[in-house]
Amino acid sequence: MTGLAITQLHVRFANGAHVLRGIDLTVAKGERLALVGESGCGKTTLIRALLGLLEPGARVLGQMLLDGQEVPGPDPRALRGTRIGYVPQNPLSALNPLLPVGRQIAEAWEAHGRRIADATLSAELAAVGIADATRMMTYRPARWSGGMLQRALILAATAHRPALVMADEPTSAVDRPLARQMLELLAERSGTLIAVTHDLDLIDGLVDRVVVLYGGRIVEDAPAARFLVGPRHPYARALLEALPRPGRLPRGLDGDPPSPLAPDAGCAFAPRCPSPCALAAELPMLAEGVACHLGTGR
Amino acid sequence: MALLRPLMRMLATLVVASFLIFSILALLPGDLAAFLASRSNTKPSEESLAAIREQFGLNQPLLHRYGDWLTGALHGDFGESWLTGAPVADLFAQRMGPTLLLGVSIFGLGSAITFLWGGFAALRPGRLVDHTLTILAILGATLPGFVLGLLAIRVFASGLGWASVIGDGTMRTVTLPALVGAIGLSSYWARPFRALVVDALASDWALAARARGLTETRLLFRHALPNALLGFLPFLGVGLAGALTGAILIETVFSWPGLGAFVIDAIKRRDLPIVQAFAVLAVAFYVVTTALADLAARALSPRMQRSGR
Amino acid sequence: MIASHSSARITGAALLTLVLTLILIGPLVWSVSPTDQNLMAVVQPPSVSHPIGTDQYGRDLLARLIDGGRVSLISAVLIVGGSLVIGTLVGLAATLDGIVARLITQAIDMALALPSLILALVIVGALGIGMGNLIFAFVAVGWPWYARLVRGIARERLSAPDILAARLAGVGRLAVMTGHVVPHLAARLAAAAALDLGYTLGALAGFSYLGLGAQAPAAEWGLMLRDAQMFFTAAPWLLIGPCACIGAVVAAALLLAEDLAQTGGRG
Repeated sequence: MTGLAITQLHVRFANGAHVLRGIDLTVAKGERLALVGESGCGKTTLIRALLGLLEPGARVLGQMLLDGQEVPGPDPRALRGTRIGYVPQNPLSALNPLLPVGRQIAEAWEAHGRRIADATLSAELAAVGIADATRMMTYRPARWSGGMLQRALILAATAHRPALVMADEPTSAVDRPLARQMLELLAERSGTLIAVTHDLDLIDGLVDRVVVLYGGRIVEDAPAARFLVGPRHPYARALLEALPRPGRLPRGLDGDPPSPLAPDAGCAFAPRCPSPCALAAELPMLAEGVACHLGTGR
Repeated sequence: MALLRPLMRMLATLVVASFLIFSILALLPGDLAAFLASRSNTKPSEESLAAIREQFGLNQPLLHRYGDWLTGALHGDFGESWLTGAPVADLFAQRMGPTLLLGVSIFGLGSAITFLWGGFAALRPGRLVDHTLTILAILGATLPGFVLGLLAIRVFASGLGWASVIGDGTMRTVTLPALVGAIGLSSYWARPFRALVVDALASDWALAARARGLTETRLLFRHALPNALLGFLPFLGVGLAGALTGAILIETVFSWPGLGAFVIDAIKRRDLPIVQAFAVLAVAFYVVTTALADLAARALSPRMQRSGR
Repeated sequence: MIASHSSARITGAALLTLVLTLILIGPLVWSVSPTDQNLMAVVQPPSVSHPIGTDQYGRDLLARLIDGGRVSLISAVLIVGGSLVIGTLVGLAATLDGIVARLITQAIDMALALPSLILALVIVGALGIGMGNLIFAFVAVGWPWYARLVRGIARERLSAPDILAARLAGVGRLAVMTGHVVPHLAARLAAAAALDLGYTLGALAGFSYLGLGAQAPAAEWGLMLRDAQMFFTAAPWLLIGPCACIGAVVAAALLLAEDLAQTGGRG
């Protein structure tokens, strides 16, 4: 079986926080997926679990298979950068400030025992859209702009054309027009892509599927085209309504997301849900792409 | 340009501090007359006091005397000892070597202990090595250097016979006093250094580097340690100067023939030219070292970089 | 950093109580004179009549330890208290407007750029040797640390929204200082003072050890170590009392300061 298959993934931190509470997710080879949710919902933890880079003391339960092979597996380091690529959240803090950018990007090759000539590296950087790459690569990160660093980091993450690329909010640190370019560059250079993002209106046409996380669980999993016009889970609707649109004010969502320390107590969204629900004390299961007792939520 | 201001500041501090030291010693009641009174049983006559003041230029206005002294000091002339009449510069030159040897040994050994100890603790945060570090650092900071020195002499020199009890100012006997100073120094250093390494290893760029497939060893040596050391530079500056101050006590404990014991003796005999010269030199050393460490940290920090490389 | 906050607090408080008990209750129980010489019983090992032995003049070490502890602790408290009061006043003055406040700020920064122990040495050198002069010298070099701490906290507080509102509502500067700034200083000053107390005690003992503080025949922990210098290879018990007491007070200060810094005096 090709692609990514996650079954019943649980992650619990040393302080008792139950951050992921049973994730079932299958991503086909070549599929592009947007992972959506508030901070604290478990997006970043999911990415770090796949990379095998959770903080010490975190316990992982469940199975993660990439092209039929267990990940992160017995030697996670060998997988990072080769089979699984990672584009960090904030490009401005994602590189060692003391070392020239070129030498750090070159590590994407060197870490896996390959030498890369300066000329080759410069050509690779130029290919992701960095002007004057030969000179720029000798500069430290402080002299690079956020957008350029982001491109360099995308190059580092995709240097070995990994089977899976994960990007943690690749658009949060750059301007709108640039953000779209970043997503395009990412989509173009990766096979299977998981992009964590807040920018729901940027993903139109760039991703195939949207998965919404809430309180460590998937609450909606839908094709992008349908999701953007008609999300079914009340939380997903609230997220879309929070976007600015011509002709109406964005509507915020009241209340706080559930604490990862709290034990399960029925529907995690119930305290903030606008619709009254008789079954709120029971945990809704994901069925037909939505985890809501009210079915379509209408 | 950005480096000019701290340099000016350092110079201003030096001038103010040397003037401060000069006037404290010149204005407070411990002047030459009192010194002579304490040396002889008969109270010196007013005439002879006036003659002496005239001879040493003590009846000049304070600023004038400071000017003369500073001009002399800048030419390496720190006046003469009231007690023996020997030039202070010569007296210092004879005793500078052992003090430098001890200070540099304490600094070097202290750095080595800090880097190994703090580095290992940082690699295992929250584990046994780490907790041991915390407790040992508190214990090390608990016993003042001279107490530790006395205990060390008792155990290692007179107890086990591993080292000589009396320091002779050479490499042969430097180990024990240097080790005692280094333990005190690294007790203060180890925890901040550990915190800097832990911060570097927990940074965004460390996560990104790991995700590129870097080994922990390479991450530590190529990325985390240079960043931690840059943040540690100011601590090194203060520590180098502190090693010198701490050496005064350690010198006395180990009968080390350096400047420290000599100056303490001068204070007791109220031989003020020696005290004055030592204080100004020590303050200058401290101010210059800390300022240089600060400047180096600024110059190396990525924001300051102007040209490529 | 310590295994848990409460264990740091309990250990620190226990060590401090132990030393304070020795110094305060000790004289009531152990009424031997700390200065009476007995040349028939010099450098005696611990025994029933001298629980921790005698020194080279046959003086009882326990009595000297108790007496010396009083001198050491009172001096350290005087130094820390004096530095704290002066530093607080100067630090608050530095937050006022105008040229004087700017000069004060400059003075604080400059004082902090100098090595304090060397300056203390100079002052003792100028004033002459003695415990009173030593205390004066330590206060003279100790206040800038408190001034910087107070200035920092006060500046932070003075720009807080509730204070701005109070000022706009017409509350006077003095009332703002006493009502809204000073109460916030207490916990952090207490932590700083606790740490400083241990440090000061160690430094005082060091100066006395060098012969620059308490003078014979007075008893003081550092001076006792100085007296022991010539004999301790043969008579190690001369070291035990002063070393243990200095270590206990400094450790207690470190532990309590760490606890105060972490809990802000609560919890």
